[in-house]
Amino acid sequence: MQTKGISILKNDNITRKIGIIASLFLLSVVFTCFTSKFLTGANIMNILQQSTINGCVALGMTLVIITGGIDLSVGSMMALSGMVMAMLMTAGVPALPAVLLGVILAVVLGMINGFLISVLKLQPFLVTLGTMSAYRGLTLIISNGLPVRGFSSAYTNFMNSLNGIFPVPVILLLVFTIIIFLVIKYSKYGQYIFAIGGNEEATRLSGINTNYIKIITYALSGFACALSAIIFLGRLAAADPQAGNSYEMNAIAAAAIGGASLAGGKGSIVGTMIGVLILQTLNNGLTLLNVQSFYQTFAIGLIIIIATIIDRYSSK
Amino acid sequence: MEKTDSIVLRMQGISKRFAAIQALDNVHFELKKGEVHALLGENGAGKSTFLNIMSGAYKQDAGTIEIDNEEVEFKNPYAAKQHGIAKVHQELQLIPEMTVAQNIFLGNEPTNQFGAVDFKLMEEKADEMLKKLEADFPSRTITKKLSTAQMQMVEIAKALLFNFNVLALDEPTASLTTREIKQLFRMVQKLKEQGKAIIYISHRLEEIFEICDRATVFRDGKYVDTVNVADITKDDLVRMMVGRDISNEFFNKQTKMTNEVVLEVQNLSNGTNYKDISLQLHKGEILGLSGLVGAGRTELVRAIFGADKFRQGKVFVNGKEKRIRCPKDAIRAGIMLIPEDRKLQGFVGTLTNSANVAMSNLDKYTHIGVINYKKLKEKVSEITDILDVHPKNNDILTGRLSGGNQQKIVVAKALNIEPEILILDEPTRGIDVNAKREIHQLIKNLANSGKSIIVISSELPEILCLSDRVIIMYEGKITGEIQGKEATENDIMKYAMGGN
Repeated sequence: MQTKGISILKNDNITRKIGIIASLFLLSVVFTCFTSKFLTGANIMNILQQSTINGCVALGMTLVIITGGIDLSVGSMMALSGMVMAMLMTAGVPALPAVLLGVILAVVLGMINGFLISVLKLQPFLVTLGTMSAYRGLTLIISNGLPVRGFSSAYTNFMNSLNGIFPVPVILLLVFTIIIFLVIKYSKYGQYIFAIGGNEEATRLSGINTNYIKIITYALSGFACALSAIIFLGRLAAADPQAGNSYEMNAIAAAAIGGASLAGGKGSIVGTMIGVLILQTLNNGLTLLNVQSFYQTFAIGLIIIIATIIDRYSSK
Repeated sequence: MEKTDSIVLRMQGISKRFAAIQALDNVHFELKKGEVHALLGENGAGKSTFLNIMSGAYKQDAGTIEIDNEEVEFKNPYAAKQHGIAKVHQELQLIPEMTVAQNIFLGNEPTNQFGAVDFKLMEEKADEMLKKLEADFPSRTITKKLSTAQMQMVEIAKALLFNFNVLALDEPTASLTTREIKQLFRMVQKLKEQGKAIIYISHRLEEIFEICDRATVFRDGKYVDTVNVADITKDDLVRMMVGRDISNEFFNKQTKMTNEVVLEVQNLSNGTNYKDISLQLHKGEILGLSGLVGAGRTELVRAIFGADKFRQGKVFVNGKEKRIRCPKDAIRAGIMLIPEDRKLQGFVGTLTNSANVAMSNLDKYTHIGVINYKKLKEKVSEITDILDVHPKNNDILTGRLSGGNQQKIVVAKALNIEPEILILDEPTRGIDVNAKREIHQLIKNLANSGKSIIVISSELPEILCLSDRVIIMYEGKITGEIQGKEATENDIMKYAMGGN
């Protein structure tokens, strides 16, 4: 039997993917039946646009989870890089270099996580718990705890230029997803992160520089956060030092719904993106039905647990 | 019939099917009180499934289990335990961070009148049990500090808590030193004298003749025969297991060795496990590295391969000094290691065979950043076909293969990078007669084609049958060197125990 690619865990993956696509479909059908506002072009575009921030973060998170790690500092990295972009722009730096510097900063923040985890062999959970607080603290320090507004209208205009047709954030996320998908599937890097997540020592003894791969992975998570910061600034025309609180939870939830295992070695880009859409569709649909947001939080919790149960008992 | 001849366990007509595979087909087994009974067969013969049914982990599709001539049914492993059936796993199931006493009493902790765990009583009782087994460590020891042999004792002590009548030992000697094996056998003898019945599984046939009274052989899930060990020879047993004659295991010892030095190690030390080691490896040579477990052999080869750092010393490949700081450096210098523990160090269970085999040199199949999977799979299939890996589907996850085939995948990965120097650490541990022979043949062939090889093995017959030259280590130092033709087990043991 010949199949394309060394698709990892492909048997499990196919049933799994069909399962979550079906859930998303089912969810949409239910909302379509109960509210006429759900299945409209504007609302679908709305869901997509609202998914972009979590989408970027969750993609980076998925890579980290595949290696067997976790990145709790994503929300803080997003806030810090976004804050730096906004402050540079209000200080008169043109949008492009300001954004570029913010991106570089986020990549460096991610590399710091990666360095501590791989070279110093510290636990990912504790390292990123620490940097979650440290990076958040830095954001508060440089901003004095206040939001930053009034930066380059050229920037916000650009980010909102295609609203109603095909919003720039959606394009950004789509491009990012496709690139990551291809990288995972066809590059050595893609093979190595699954190998590390499955058995790091065996991978190292196969002559692979596992530290290097892990640092790149955490750096990519930082990059993904910078991307979500770019979208955040465009949508709110402000940088908020409290932005991104508990984003790590949404990202982990999306990855888990998409079939990623926190034990490492397992995860899917398409799965994560569907996970992101499921979470956002649920939010959107329940809002349209005028369900109080408290119930939405509760429903999301249930979805995560159900997905975990299905995952546990379908893979055997 | 004497009392000692009474049947404690009788399993009749046992069958078990997993999806498409008939793992067991109408097999029989009888165990007498006070006997050591070997259960033999190649990997995949159904031994593990049989033990799992006996210990309540699986339910049989057909057949009956009788204990003391009474039919029983095990709903779960706990029920089997209550009926006096104990099993010591191949992979020990102890919690490393706990003390020995805590492990023995896990789930059965004695409590005082307040409901709190009575640690003092627990340790006293545990010490008593350890004493019965002639263990040389107190129950307060943290388990991870014990040797494998000592951990096995803890497992057996744990079983003693249930006052077992039947004890199954699954490959107990796989990672024991000769001395520890002696100790284990003494313990088995004691248990036997106490009237316990022991089921003994091992791939080392010498051991069967040393301690077993009877042997039952399975082949392809079917019952072959039960024999008195005293009445048969090793060849008979092998024939029963394999179903045909296996040609002489001791084939031509001499390989096409030359005097050209390909690898030279000078004064290598890490300060603790090995000190001041110097050795040379010639082109086309098979060098056996012998010694007791803990003599520093594994640490030495790991350092040569760059898996661990060394403090002093130099490594030369083809006369040139190489700085080896990580496995990648070693692979570039043409050195590959097949590590000791295949599950932990050899392969990634969640990857396919193709991915595992190609892992070390994905560069070869990558063009401008894109992996050419077609080319990769073709190349991998070439190698796995030569090694005869089963099943013949490289899209399967390596974690799902049998031990012998997993080892072949690890070997395939090493061959795929075409190393000039191949180091194999315990290459045949826990794999069956047939796969073992194939791997031995492969090592010979590699040497004959001009590759240079270092083999570490705790099995002396393996070292003797493979090596052109044997180096023996004791407590981190080289204590002896013998030409393969002249080597005997006694000579090697003498050096391995520190004598010269």
